[in-house]
Amino acid sequence: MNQIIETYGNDVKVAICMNALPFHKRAMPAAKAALAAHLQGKYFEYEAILWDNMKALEDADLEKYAVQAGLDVAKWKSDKDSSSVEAQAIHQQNLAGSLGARGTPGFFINGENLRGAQPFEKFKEVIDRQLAAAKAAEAEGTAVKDLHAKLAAAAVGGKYKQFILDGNKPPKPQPRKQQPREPLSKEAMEIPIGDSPRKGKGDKVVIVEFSDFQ
Amino acid sequence: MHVTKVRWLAMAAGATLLLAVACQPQTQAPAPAAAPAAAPAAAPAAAPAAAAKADPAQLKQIETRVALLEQQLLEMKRAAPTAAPAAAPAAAPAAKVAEAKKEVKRPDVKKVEAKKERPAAAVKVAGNMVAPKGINGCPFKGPGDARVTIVEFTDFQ
Repeated sequence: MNQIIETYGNDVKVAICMNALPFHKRAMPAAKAALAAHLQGKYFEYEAILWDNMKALEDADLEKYAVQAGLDVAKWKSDKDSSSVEAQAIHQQNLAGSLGARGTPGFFINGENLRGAQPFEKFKEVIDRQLAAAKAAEAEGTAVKDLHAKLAAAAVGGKYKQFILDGNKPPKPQPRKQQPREPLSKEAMEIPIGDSPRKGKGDKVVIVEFSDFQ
Repeated sequence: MHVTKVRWLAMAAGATLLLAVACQPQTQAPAPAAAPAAAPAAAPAAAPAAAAKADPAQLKQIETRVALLEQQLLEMKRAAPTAAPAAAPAAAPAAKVAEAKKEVKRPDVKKVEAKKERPAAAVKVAGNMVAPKGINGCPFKGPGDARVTIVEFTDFQ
């Protein structure tokens, strides 16, 4: 993200919203801790420490980072445990869910969705496209302050406008319904593996793995 | 005997006249001879005692001024109760000020009402940009009036 800001300078701004995934037990406490730091204007200082310590997110760790970030620790503690910060964290989590951003990180560039930690080139592709559209809209008379609303109006089937631009309260996302799995066949199956890479010399038990690297 | 009596009386009368003439310039000279305006000019030139004796004229002038001022004051005091109706127009501007104060307060009241109407209050970020309502609690980086807005959803674990 720093590379994007350095490259595009005044043409880009970034909003960081929390999407504490439910299966990450320490993600919500870390999100609330970061939002409490934001209330003291030191979110980015605190975030930098969190990224360096992603595996140490217990309460004592979070407090230690608050000291390192130069926060008023008493206020930070009180804010972190407040209902308003919790509501804000849940609001942002619901917002992500309502826009279909179920994994992290998730990005919306003038409303255009980009999923996962992508290389800079992927961001550049989308940003350049959005920048060109912004300049075209500007040339037609759209004020700079209205570009975001204009260009993202139809994003995510209108949900971006509904929840982000207009500020409507996003609903709590419903958990995905698990598709009932077909019972595994106990019978031996013939799987054509052709010239696929293989390891091991035995042929009494054959394990076939289907993989993906991203 | 009769002649000597007359002479003595004449001498006594002459001495009285002389005494009277001798005393006259000291006591009466400044008053009739000097004009009221000349009196203050004569006073500094005179000895302190003479100046003190010149004060009565000034005192009279001051007294007359004080009397005039007292008279004016009395007139003003008399006018005060009857001035209440005359002060009514002055009360009108006061009412206007009160109205103006109310008018000043009204926009504030409207602002509060407007805030209540909003689902989420808009927050100012960098520059003169107002953050979109839905993400006004999210930290921002970059200038407020940027052409491209990136919203990132993140998780620290």
